[in-house]
Amino acid sequence: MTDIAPDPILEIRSLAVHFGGRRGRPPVRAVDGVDLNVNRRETVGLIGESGSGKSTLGRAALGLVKPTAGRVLIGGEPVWERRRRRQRDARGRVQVIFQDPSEALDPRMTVAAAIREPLRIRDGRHRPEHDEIVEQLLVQVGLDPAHGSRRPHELSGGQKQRVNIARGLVLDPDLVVCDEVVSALDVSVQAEILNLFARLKRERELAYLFITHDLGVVTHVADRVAVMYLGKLMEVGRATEVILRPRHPYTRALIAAQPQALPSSLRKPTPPPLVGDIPSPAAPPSGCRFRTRCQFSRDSCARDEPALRELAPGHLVACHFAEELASIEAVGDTDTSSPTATRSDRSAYIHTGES
Amino acid sequence: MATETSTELRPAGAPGEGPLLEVRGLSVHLPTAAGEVQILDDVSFSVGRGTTLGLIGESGSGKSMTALAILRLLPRGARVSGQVLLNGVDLLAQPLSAMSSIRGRRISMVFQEPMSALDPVFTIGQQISQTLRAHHACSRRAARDAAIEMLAAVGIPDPARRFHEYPHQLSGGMRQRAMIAMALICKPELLIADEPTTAVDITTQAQLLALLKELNRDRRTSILFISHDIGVIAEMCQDVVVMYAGQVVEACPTDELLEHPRHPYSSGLMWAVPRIESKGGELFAIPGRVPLPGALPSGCAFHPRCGHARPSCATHSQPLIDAGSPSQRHLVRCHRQEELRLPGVLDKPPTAETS
Repeated sequence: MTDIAPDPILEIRSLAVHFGGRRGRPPVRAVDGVDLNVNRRETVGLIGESGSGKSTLGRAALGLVKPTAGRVLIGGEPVWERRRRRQRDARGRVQVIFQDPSEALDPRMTVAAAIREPLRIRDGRHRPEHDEIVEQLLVQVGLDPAHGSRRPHELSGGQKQRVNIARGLVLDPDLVVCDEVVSALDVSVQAEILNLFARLKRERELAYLFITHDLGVVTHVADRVAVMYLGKLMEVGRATEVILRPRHPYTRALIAAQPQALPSSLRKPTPPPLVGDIPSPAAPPSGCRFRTRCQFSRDSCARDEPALRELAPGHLVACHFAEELASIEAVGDTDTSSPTATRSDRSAYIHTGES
Repeated sequence: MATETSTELRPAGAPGEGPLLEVRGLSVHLPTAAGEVQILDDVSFSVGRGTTLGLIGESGSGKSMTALAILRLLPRGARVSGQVLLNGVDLLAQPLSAMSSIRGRRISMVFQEPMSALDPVFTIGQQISQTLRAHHACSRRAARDAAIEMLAAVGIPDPARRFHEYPHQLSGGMRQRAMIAMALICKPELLIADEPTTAVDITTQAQLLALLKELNRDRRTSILFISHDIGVIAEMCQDVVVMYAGQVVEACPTDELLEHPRHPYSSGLMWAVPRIESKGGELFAIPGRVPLPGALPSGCAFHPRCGHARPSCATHSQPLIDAGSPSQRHLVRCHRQEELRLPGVLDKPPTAETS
């Protein structure tokens, strides 16, 4: 995979999104100081457990939630802006596709009407050329123009997701936020939809912010990966680098938790899973937020919050002891086999090394 | 259709001791507005004592229907034939009233969504202790102690406090543990787990899988594990049954399936999963959709989606035959199983074109 030249379409700068916090209750710090760029024609995968803040970060990129602090820029324009006109221009360049293809569609609207709606809103009325755009899009996402007159209940889950993709693309965005877009689909349908995302990216020169909890999916689609935990980024880097050589204990734990589709003779003993649940974002632990579940945590982790720092070119890690941990082989290993063999046996999705 | 004389993949542990659960030639027809449709067709498999068997397939393959048929929880009007032998006793031949002493006591079930299986208006403690008291004469106090002990055994911290909490007060992973505790309180011989980790984070999934493995090892609880995820099946199950369109299409030890799948559908399922080797390329996608019950293709039900289909596949249905060795059975339902060499997880990925 070639490196993408830095040419950001999305810039997230020191972003914080807090919810609530009135009547003396502490606010929920869903996003709590995140810097992240997505370049043009780049796919950035965003992973983390539920409650890590990844969906809120996605919503902030879309301008759907107001930042508590920091800024979100789309093509250099702030996405949260007082003046309506500028805000709408910036927002039109970023679109979203959600997880549940059924809930995102109005059951009473035909497929064509659903795809056409953003155009109608942008232009203030229906224009004849809209129909042409819709027809072309239906074909591009692998549907038949005849599907335009159908309603959602007449479509399969995969077809519905194709409709949502078409609607997300109708305003010709530069960036698409994909929030768990394949999690509700069967594996063979998931494969088709992932192939479609790859083709659309090439054909329409799209950038994706790909939010998922599935490491196999993120490994397959992403150029870069950002790992989020309790509102902060723990690790950012090239996808192959982060997945094959994770430097943060949290990333390691996520990778170790991935089931291995390997025969028992090739499977490493599974390390003990991460204990407990993600703490409440209303009361994150002091110092390093991951320390309460980290098997390597020391006293200093409770005092000082580790900054996200560059360990290798383009590989950022927020851990005081990242260098030290790099020398410890993968979590739970007992033998001293070569690093690649160890790493590769860890997960089904990475078992024969880098492509 | 010819039914195999034995459904066991491995010889029984002790001579004369049959499998714990034996499903023989199970067929289910359900009434619909459009007439009666066949949901399951001649499904046979067995679960040995203390073993784990996986049922894998996409939505609509009949996995969950099989579980419901075993517990006789099918919708009203269902027509069922075949046998479900628990310790040699046919559950389908019992009066329906006898099932209430089997469900929850000898066979328990854990579902995907704990919120729909737990009653929101009772505390989890009440629900677990009532399950025990429904099957065994014991005092409230004894039931309470047993429930707290079971909550601790499934890894719920502070079980005496959690006993008094309602389902909504628990996190998703904790709820799933509470449901497992409820399923195990009567020490059932067989646990049917229907996608128990599909709705939780991978870190929680790793915790739950470790718990189920421990229960299988320490309590010798047999597990029938239903999943669409080949990685989870590989982690959990010694043997696996692949279902497609209401039929068993392949059954063998899990290691054997991963390395040497004999049915094109099984091989396709493994290769549709995104992984690092698929990065930058097309994922293998099984074309088409799982057919709807009542609209099954002629001949082999998989032939319209199969890259290896021959004209005879469309005209002749294929029985499930043993293509394994004397030491290891390998049941497969494919006309071309003798000539095909299909890629397993250790082979090079097939390309999208050549399947």
